[in-house]
Amino acid sequence: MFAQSSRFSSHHGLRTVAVKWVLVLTMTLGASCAAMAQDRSPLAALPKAEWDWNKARHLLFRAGFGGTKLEIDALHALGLEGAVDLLVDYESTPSGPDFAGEFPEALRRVAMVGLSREEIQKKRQTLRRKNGRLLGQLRQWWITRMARTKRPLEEKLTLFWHGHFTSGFRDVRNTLHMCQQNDLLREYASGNFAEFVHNVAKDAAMLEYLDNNRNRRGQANENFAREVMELFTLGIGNYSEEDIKEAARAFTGWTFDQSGGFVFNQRQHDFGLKNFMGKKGRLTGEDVIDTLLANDRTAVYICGKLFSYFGHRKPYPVLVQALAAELRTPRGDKKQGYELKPVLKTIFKSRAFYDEKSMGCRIKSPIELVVGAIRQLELPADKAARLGGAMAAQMGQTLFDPPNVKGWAGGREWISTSALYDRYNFAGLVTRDLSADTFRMQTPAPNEMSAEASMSSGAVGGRVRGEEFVPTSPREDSMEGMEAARADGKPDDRKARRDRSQTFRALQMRFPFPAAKMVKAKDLSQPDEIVDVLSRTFLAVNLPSTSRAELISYLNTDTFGKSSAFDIERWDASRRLKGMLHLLFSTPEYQIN
Amino acid sequence: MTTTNSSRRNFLRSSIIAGSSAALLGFGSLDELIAAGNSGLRGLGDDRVLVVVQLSGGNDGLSMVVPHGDDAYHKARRGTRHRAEDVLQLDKYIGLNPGMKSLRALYDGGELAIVQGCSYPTPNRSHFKSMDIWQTGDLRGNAQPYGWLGRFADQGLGAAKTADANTLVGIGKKAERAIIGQRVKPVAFTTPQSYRYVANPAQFDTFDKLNEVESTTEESNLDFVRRVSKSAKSSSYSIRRATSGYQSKIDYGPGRGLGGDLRTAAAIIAARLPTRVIYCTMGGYDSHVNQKGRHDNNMRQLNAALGAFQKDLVRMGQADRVVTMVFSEFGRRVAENGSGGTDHGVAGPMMLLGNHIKGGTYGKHPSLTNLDKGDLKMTTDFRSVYAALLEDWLSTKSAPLLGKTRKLRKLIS
Repeated sequence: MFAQSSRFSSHHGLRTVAVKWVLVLTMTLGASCAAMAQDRSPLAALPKAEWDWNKARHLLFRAGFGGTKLEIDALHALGLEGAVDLLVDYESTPSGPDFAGEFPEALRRVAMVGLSREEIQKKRQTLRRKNGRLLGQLRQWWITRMARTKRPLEEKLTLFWHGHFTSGFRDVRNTLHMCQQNDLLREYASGNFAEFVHNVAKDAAMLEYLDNNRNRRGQANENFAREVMELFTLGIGNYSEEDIKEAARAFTGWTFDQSGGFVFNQRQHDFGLKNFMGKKGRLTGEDVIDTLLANDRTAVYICGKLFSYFGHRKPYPVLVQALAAELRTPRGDKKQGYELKPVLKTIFKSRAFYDEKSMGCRIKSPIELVVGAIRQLELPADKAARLGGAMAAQMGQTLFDPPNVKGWAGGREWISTSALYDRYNFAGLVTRDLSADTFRMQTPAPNEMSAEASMSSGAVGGRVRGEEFVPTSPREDSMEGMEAARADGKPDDRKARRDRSQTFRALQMRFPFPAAKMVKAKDLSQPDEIVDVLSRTFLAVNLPSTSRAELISYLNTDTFGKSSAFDIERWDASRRLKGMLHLLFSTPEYQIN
Repeated sequence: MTTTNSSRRNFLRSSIIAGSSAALLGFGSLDELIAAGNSGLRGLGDDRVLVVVQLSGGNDGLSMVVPHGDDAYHKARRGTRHRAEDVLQLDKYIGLNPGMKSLRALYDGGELAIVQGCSYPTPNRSHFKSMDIWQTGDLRGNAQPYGWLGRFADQGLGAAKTADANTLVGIGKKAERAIIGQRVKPVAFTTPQSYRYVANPAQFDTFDKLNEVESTTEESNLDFVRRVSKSAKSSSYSIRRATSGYQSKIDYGPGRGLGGDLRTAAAIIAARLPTRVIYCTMGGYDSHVNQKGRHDNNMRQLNAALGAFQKDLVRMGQADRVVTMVFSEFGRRVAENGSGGTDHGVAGPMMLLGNHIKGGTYGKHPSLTNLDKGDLKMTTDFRSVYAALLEDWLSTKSAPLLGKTRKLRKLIS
């Protein structure tokens, strides 16, 4: 419109006509624009009429991990508003089993309150000794929780923040602290981001992971100061090296004690004058964080990341700006805003979240894949979680052990040829179509563990076994030394047995999957409707028609490859169904959500 | 046994003439063409292979390349030392661990280079942080998400969309960061036989059809996964075919570890897959306790595996295509600790072997008395070895990958 008017007006003879034209144009278009502005605004909600079952499925995949037909039906029935509110205001839903109680109490800080000095001392010793094993349990506990919770978004967000406010056990080396951080991430997952940052900055695991316990007056360690800006708030390029130096000084003396509490060590703190982003004075760490939160870039950065995680990776800047404005809207006593729930609701209700750029466009992370499969198949979560955790690690995602300070890069980074086969092979195991024995027979790995890194950290003696850091006592270490020194070179049975690690034991996990019962419960019996309903429920994209035909014909085939009609009442119905699901999960389509 | 550099260039020329006479028309001379090839995709299309052996846990360099002529060594290492008469002496000052007879022979044949005192500025004594630095070739460590060899492959990819799935091969449970690139991803397996889709026999036909759905032209993530799925099939097949039919009478040594992995590497090389990097690891080097027996055993295994590998390559006529690099994330403290072991240290030796390696010792052995907090000081920046391998072996520019780094000259002939 503007281009047109300028062209007209540059035409001398037609100037007056042009002005009239422009007026008319502006009036007519203006009126229709105003009507459309409602729709076109970047945050416009999806019109009610466009809400359908596929969109409910999409919502459950993204705001959760996907699920059963029943769950999708329920969300669909609630309508867009109701579905989003139910998922986001998850506090009103009981999370399910008492997850906190399931996890070893010893790990939780509360457990140390009210104990005598000796008891605390003893408890710490136990913790140190069992550090690695407890980490494995913590990991399994979290996956179980993700697979079982009635508040999927709570866990999905906790997973998101685990990749945002990243800490890794390899550097932290303390399961208690990792557990406390996980609690913190869950507590603030959809809370107030400003308070969140302040609390994360005082979290023991974070201070350790980013070396702030080594940040002292006169001997600054800038790691934490840098990442607070680069990764947590502003995003790269929105601060200077001078800012980092000054911020690092403000954070000197921020450290923690062994029970995971924050400690401000005055003797190590630099009380001098600082000059940070235009602010001068005896700035504290809190001042630095407040300055970062007052900076408009922070909301833009966080909202861009949130939309990329839940929607798609290339949101328009106007969309992100609008979300950022929403995040900074003051609400109640939160004068600077930063309430996350309204932004989450806006995202999940927005048209942009349901357009074709968003739907069916993401590659599932290994944890999403694993948790999703357990939820979709309604498997016993605790046992399946053990298998899932080991397999997710193989696929490249180990909880509490992100690859670097940026967390997991995600997207296509997850997929290499071998990682894809790891995903496909997980499908065989989780559907119970392959037994552990079949699996191991076909993938012999005689030197499975022997070539593996055997490291120990400086503070806690131990080894990294596969994904897991396993502490060892010096005695055990030395015995291994003796074993390894055996001159005959024969594989040492004891070591081999011990080396069979998580993966092996996880493979051996037995849990039932009554496939025929599951299908019958959905009132399905015919092969075509079984394939249609299950693929619609389990995939976020359409199953190609050729693939559909293949799966139906697989159901109609017996063990010997002869065609024989599928019968849900027949003895081999479950076996055929498991085989079909194994295949359905071994497709490119299943990798997408 | 050793072909000269010029004959390799001739081979390269002839293969370029045969392969791309059409492209030739655009270039002035063959040398330009070779130069152009070196900077572009041909960096990946070349047939030279780099094998990396990572010694995980912090190898005690002083027990591998022993400074037997230094009194300070014998004083500091009362429990773990090797006597001068036991050491395989290379000169009056240093010698190899008594268990490294094959490597000694390679050294004498001019095919083993020992680079002394390797580390980097402001060394980190944490396994993970230091390993991150070695694997990325970047002092920022885990702030750099991609490995130095992954970035090499990315760079060689140039404008091409995809590289062969077997360009970067990691033998191990998961791919080490060193071989993870942004665009070129490694393939990783514990054994070739485990790199496969596992299913019941009746399922394979269906599986193939489900995974043969054509990608549309659009570049969605689904299309991407479909493409990878197709290349997974051929990649897994070619790896398994290469290794299952592979036979060698050469003994790769006791134990199941590194020897078996290098045997797999030899099979992949023999099959002439388009693999440029093969990455192996060997654990058990974190010797805080009762070091001597354990470390000597490691040295024997390392010696047996590397010796057999080199012998096997020569037997197959493949030795001109391969260079092997051995490193660890750090060396160990000069003084022993109270439990017959040694704690985390700093500088340590690297080894390089192959027909095109100019044998001998490089760099100065770090002083055993002038120490940094009890540790050997760096005399060689390990990135200078990387630079030499990138420039002179993998035919690519090192500056975009490592920054400005002085390369170790004349290491590769």
